[in-house]
Amino acid sequence: MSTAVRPAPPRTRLVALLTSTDHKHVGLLTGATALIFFALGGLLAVLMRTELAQSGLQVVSDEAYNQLFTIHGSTMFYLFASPIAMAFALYLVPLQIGASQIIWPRLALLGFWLLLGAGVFMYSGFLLQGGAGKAGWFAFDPLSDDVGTPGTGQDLWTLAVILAALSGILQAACVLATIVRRRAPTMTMLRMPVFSWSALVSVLMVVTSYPALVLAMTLLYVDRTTSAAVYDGAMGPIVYQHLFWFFGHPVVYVVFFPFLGAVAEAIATNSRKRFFGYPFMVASLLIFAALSMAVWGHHMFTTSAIENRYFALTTTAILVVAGIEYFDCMGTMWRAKIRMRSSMLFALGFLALFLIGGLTGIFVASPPLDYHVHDTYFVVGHFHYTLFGGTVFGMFAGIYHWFPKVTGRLLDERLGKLHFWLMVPGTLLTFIPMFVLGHDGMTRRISNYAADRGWDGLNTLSTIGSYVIAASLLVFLVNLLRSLRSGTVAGDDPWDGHSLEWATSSPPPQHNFDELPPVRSYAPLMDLREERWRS
Amino acid sequence: MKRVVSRGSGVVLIWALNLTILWAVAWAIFDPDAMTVALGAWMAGSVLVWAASAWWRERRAGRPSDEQPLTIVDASHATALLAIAIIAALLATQFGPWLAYISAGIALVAAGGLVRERRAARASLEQVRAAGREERPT
Repeated sequence: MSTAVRPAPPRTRLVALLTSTDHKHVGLLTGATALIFFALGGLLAVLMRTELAQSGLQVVSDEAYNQLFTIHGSTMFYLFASPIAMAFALYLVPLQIGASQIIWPRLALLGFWLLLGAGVFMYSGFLLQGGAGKAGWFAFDPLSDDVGTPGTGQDLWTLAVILAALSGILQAACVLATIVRRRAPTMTMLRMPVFSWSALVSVLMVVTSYPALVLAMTLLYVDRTTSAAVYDGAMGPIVYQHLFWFFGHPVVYVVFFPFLGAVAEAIATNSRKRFFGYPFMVASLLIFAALSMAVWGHHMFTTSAIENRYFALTTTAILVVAGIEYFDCMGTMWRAKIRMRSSMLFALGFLALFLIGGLTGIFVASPPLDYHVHDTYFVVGHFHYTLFGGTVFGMFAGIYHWFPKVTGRLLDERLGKLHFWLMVPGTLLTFIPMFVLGHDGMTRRISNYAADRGWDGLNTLSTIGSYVIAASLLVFLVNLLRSLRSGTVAGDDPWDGHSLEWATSSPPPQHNFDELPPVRSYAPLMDLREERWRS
Repeated sequence: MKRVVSRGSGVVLIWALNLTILWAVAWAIFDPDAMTVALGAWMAGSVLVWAASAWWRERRAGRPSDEQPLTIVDASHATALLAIAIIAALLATQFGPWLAYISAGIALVAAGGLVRERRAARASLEQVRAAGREERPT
């Protein structure tokens, strides 16, 4: 495909970057912004865990604690996990499918700017007299209405969520349109790498579910700021919950699938084998994604306003397709000569820790068991194993795998392994005690507990674990900065990669490829290597 | 089936069918509340319409040709301005109409910038096409 590049007017580097419509720049900006918010959300989490380390501690006030858990959860979902998933997709999908540019690059850039606005809105609440939003990341009505949570901070929070959701929809639409319309001529859908498939199902879910969040939050904002009582009446709060969870559960998979894809790529490359069971993986991704659009009601089991049997069935059915994906990953590693790099370690960590999240999900998928643990620390432990064990470990597998492609430099392997070996015990220490605490009845979103409940020991352990995670992330930060300044030059394909992004320079040029290699399967570079060996 | 999945719009269609089956199971076998039915119908229906239109467009237009020139947009100040206008418009609901007027002004400038960018892209494409015509042997 011939290209015409319009010469750019001279600008400073920062302005050039902030207005660049190159999908790689937009992906990097979105990713960097998401990582900054990850650090901020993490700091809030450490503060919360410090508050809970012992009964009777008063590091922050009850009011401030409400703001902490609200902004922590909101940051992690709206400003970190969802944007970082989109950042990976924006950067890598066009490269993997052999496209020279995304479709609608201006919309992708607009998405980045709206995300930035969302972050500023959400955090500026801390500067206001009444504080930031404090009705939880879900902002259930009537808790979140102008009577339950008065103040400009909550208004700004609502606007921030609208902006973040719009940002996600715009960027997802760009990725989706690019996959559908701008694949390289020989890149059929069934030759796309697993990561691109995982990004595809993720963006399909975004464009289907995020509009419900925009609607829920817009109505909430109207409800808060005008006399129109949108969510009033007996069914108002239930309608809000339906709209919110119609987004709120799919988003868990939106932030999971791209990193499952990243893990699959890391495993296949480090195992020096083609990904095992590719067609089954593709089918399971499509079915998994569709099922996860039909499970939102399991968050509402205790409301008695929904058909529990249907949502219990769909939620439990997810285990079958998730099993196929695990089986494919294991099959890829079977009898392989595995190179145990940092990316591989994080991929294995993802499989092990997400499994804990998945297995504890069976408990909360069953209405009678969910009644017992609903709104307790059991649920907090469960979803942190899916989001931290899944999304964050998968993200690091992806970062260690693709960092050389993005920057042209290698991350330090010794620091990468130290990062991993600190993060695993930190994760286990932080979140395992939560299952016991939740089962014992410790409810979520409390800033204190009575000393005679016997929860001090487990809470102290959990807090120590959170400090270990923070230390591991500092190791990663040091590694990142050192490697950016003076890391070993990586070359175009340091890992013997399988997919097209490894066929171009590191970092790739603006038009992505000078020449595309032939594409005959989902691992075109492996095909080339095999051909070379044969001849 | 393999032929359907091999097309981009085919995958969207499969996605829509999956959602429709799930909605139909809820509606036909279980006893869901009105919101579950409505959300499921909206989800399945909207994606079905969208998939059908993508399928139709793909059949009509075909895949973009390898020889077709493509403009790579490298920067867009107007997009950044548009984002600032949207953010200011939302803030105006909190801080008063004066901010809405500023936002409208920024949006106008941004719209002008977008038009200029499109014109420049078109002109650059024309140049490439004209160069191609000159190079072609007669």
